[in-house]
Amino acid sequence: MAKPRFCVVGYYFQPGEILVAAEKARLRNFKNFDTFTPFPVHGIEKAQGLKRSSLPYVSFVAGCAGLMAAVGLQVWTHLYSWPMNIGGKPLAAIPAYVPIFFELTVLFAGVTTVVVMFTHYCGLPNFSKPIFHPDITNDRFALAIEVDNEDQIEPVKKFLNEIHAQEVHHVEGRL
Amino acid sequence: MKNLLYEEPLVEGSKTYADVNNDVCKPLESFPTKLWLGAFGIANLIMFMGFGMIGYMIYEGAGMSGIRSPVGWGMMIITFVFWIGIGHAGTLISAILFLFKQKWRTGINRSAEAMTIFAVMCAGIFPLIHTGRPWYSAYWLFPYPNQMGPLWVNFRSPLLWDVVAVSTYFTISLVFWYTGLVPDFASVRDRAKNFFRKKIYGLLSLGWRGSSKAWSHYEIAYMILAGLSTPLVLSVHTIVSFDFAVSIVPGWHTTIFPPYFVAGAIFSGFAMAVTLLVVAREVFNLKDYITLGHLDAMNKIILATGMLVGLAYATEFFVAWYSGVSYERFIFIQRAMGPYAWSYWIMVGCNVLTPQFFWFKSLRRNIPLMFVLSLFVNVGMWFERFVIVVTSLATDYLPSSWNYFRLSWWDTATLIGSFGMFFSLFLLFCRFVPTIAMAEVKAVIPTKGSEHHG
Repeated sequence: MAKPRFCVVGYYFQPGEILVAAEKARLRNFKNFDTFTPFPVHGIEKAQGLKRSSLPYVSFVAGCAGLMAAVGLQVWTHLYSWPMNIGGKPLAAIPAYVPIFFELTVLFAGVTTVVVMFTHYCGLPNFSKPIFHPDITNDRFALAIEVDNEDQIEPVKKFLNEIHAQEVHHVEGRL
Repeated sequence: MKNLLYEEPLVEGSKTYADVNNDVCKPLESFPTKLWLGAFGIANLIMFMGFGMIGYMIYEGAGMSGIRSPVGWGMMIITFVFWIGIGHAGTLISAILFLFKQKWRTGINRSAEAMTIFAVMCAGIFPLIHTGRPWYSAYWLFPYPNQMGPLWVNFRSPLLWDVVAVSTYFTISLVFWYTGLVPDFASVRDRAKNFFRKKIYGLLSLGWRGSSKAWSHYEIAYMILAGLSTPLVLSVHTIVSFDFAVSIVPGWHTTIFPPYFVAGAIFSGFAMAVTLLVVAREVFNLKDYITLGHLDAMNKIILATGMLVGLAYATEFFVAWYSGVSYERFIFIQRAMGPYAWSYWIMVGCNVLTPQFFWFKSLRRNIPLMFVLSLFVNVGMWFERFVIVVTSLATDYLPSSWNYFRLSWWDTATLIGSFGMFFSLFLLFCRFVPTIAMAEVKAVIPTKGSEHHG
């Protein structure tokens, strides 16, 4: 069985404070820490040292897949599956296919972006991770630091107090 | 001297973050008021009356509707275009204003997006019943493998482009709306005292915890969705207008249709948004979030798009004359002076004249006036589609087949029924979903101690 892990959590009440705290936590080189905020705080990625999301590449690939699907569907059905002469127009009437090229590109890209963002990038849905405080989705800003064993809890708490956390506590579980 | 650099606050009443949650979640957590129950009851009755009408038509046949040769497109297509148009304001607010970094959108985007989704749902009913045999619709409208060859839909037809455009629009709007809702569902979950409420909103929130790692991906996804929705919303009404413009019917076969339809759609959508928000902010006590400033900005958009629509009416007339095509000229003279002149002048009166009041700031901020004017615009935009659909068909190339189109009682009842459905859904939304995007509003309210910097 894996060793129990602990999260030490410090709370702030202003977005400016959490920015400073995140920066300090990054400079202390904690292995695994994250901040939890009621709304996206401007500049937190930089303070926390987060890389820009690679999600746009996923959207691009999904959009290309949508375009290919639209080309395949329309050209294949009209050219091979059941060719039909409508008003003497060419069987593969590319200009007439453009609206559906566009729509399916957007459909695939949009839906894939959101599904992949929630499932792969955010690890959701996940109902087992600890919710440190119910007010994190209201008006609290939390800095949570994961530690491997019980001995490290106290030093991290001390660190959080040093960087002016208003409240500090710890919970069992992973970040 | 007036301070020209003064900006109105986006949220009034110097709210704290906790105030936002308390104010927005209040209607979700209290027992429904008599007013809500009464309104919901009436809307439901009307909706089920509409469903009953549809059932009756399926049993009895499409002759229940007023469509008679040569007017093959009647109330159902008019109302379809009307509802699709209503939806456009929501996407404009949520996507285009997001890309332009218009922060005032945060107060109204949630309800406007909800309006989009419900309007597209109402719209979706009409093409299905317009086919007369809705049980065949899936085979007519969607390309799926079947036992007849397989026979496929005709991808060269604007009607099929329309099916794909509207389905895509609905799906992407729903996904966009839900994405915005996830953090707010988490807020409702975390303040819930009731066990089932906690579980249900917990499921809806997917277990969102507000982690900054998640937010960083979330914001990128939101940006991408806004970027995708922007051309999408322009494409949807463009393709709806292709249903008309690709035909060779006089009055329809014009290149002005796509921009003209898109401007009209945004115009009608904003009018409907004003109608709904004026009531919602009063009933749910959200005046600090949906401020007069918001309504002012929306009325400016109504004015601008109303002028665009007016310009399009004028351009159509000019081009009909300038083209020298006698059929085209005839149809436009018929519109303004023929048997349907009454509908044409309702359209011009409601769409071109009513928005002119909004040139004045005091009138843009006058709640009763804007409510009445927005209703006029809604009526006018329904009549715009009536004028386009009916006048061109009723007096077609052969005078011997001309016919006067009337809405049947069934048409009227079904049209009213669709409003019942729209308002039922919107009332449910107000009760069960946070009507203001809480996380987004918090990001634009000033933090403590920073008020003096503005």
